[in-house]
Amino acid sequence: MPWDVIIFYMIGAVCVLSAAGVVVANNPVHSAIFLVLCFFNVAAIFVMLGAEFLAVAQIIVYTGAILVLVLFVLMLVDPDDLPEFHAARPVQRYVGLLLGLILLLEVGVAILDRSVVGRRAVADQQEFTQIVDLVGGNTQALGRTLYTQYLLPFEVISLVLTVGVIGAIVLALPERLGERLYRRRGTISLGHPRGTDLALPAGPVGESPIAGPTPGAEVVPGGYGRRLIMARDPNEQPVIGRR
Amino acid sequence: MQVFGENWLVVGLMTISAFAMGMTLLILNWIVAPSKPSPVKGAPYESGVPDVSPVRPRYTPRFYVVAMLFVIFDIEAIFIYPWAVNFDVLSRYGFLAMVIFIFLLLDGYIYAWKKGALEWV
Amino acid sequence: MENDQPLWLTFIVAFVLMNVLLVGMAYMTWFERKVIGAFQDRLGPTRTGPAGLLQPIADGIKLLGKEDLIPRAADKVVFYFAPLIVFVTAIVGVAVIPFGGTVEIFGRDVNLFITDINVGALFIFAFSGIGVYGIILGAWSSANRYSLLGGLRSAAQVVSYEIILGLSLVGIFILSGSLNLRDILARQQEPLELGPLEISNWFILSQPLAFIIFLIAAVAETNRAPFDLPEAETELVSGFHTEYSAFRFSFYFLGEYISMIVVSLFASTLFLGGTDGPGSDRYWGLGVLWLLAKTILFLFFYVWLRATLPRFRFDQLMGVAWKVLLPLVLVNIVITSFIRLAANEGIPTGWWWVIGAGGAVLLVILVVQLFTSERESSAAPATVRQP
Repeated sequence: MPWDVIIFYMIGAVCVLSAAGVVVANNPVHSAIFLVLCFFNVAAIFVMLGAEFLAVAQIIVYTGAILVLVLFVLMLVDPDDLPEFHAARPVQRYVGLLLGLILLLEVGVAILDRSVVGRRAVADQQEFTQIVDLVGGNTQALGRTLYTQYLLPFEVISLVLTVGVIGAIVLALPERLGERLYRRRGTISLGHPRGTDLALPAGPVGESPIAGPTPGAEVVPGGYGRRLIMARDPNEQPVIGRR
Repeated sequence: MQVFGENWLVVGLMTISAFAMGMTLLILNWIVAPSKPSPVKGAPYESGVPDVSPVRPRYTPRFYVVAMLFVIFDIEAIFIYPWAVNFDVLSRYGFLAMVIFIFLLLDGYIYAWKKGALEWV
Repeated sequence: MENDQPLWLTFIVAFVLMNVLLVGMAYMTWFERKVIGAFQDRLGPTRTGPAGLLQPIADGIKLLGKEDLIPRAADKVVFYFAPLIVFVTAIVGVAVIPFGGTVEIFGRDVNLFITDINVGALFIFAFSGIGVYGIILGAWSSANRYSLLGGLRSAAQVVSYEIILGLSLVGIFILSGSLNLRDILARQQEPLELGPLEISNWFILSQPLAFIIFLIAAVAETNRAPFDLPEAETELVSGFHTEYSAFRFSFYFLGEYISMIVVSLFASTLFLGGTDGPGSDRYWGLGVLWLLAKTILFLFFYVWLRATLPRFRFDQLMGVAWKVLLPLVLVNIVITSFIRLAANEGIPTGWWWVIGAGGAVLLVILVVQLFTSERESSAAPATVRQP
């Protein structure tokens, strides 16, 4: 087997495994990490196909921008507010399964379309490479096509992006738009299971330089840290033992 | 080697060897350094007092707005690069296309500014 | 690839370069301490070796001998690997920097560049974009609120300034017609005639605004003073690496300094002609020295900033990126492309004037709207947040 095929299979395997990891991982942040890995390997496959600009764009836009957004949201949202990660409603599960199958079929058709029927976008790989080299590289070739043949879609993209800006502002800053409705804003969670990032253990007090609960005082089950609450939003009543 | 040149292969090798270098240093650290974990050492750093505030501190959603704006302008930048390298070829029509593109995006940008999405208070 | 150098030779060059970078990073810390010492009328390190030259080695050995603490609540695997991401992405960025052409060393042709990829300039952005994950994941996995806040700040800051950094180079890409750093370098070696004088056409001459913006954004991108908010010790203990110790901590440190060096190399290549300088066309060693001299100039600038300027506030930091620098880079792009267009095709005539005037009028309307209408901005009172 030629070595580039071996490398391709290695990259592909990592890609598929990390994609599976996205689905399987329990912690949403771990899922995001697997997704980064997956995107990175997809970029490597783009490189192998000679699409250097696309590979770098994939890394800059998908791993560099969109997944940072995903991570921010994961850290902003309290996981307790999310539906159970692996226990979606049956309807959601079946619809999800159905969509997955449709996607699989589409990919299958696309692959068969190219390999069995033998349709190719460019008849000759060598000819294609020569054309790309002639204009000075992948980026140049892409730009020439994009800004001549696909000019209108390109301009429409700017409208889509503008809608994105407006959507983000409507979602995240409702009070700025004059909506006087109260929302719980700005919860971020560490994403750890509840309580694991609590302070000191209830171990022997003698070892700690810090005074633990004084002997004889009422010991609150679940650690003495729970009841003393600082730095709360003054407008919100502390709800102890929520859920 | 056809399309997939050695140029990128060496980048992959560099990544792997940098990773190996890092792991070597970490293993060296692991061998040399003492390891006496204790509950106090394992506690989150809180300037020497027990951690008493709620488990989930609250942060501002403005981080989300910044990330969203970043996604938008990052995509804009990605579209500008192929235009920039082809500038001499695309000439005046390319220039006009990009001016319209930037202008439309500027619209969203000014909307964000006026709605105060760029203020961090 | 220009010449078919065997892969192992390229890899040796790369490996040597990586080690040089590590040593350079170590001596960057020495350099910084000496320079800051001089700024503050002190001596800096003097005890270890002549002029404290062995200080970085002593620091390294000390860090190797420290206990590697892991917080009990930490996400172990992520906590282990996050610092490595920062380190690896910082060091791989050097792959696209050209240190010269093909030269003869020990009777063999050796390329003084590691890769010659077509998207070299974007490659550095891509890798610095991945480097953000090292910070944000390390911060998250520490399970400490200072870490997380530092990490979020850092990510928000780095991504905001990454756009500025990327867009500030568009002028150069327009002028050179390539994203390849070797092409950009070659383009700068073309002579520019100023009357009797003939100088190299460095991009700092044609892109001065972009150069200034790039410098500011580069300082912010590498989390350096005065933009070192992610590790602001007055408010965040030490930011995203609060819980890190021993060598795992030093990877963040290494990453920061290496990315400083790489960004300086990058800036010298883009704006100051890289290896270009008197005599560099005859002796390749001189070219490398010129590049190093320019890089050290940038590094000195970094240290100078740290010694001189107080730290920004976070809202100021984000304000500078989004309200000052972003409009400026867009203006720079439009002006550069317009001048280039005029140079290529002559001054536009006829209906192009109409279009230009119409665009200008629309722009003025937008800007006037921005500054005259009632703004619901920071002035919006906090009373909005009523239950």
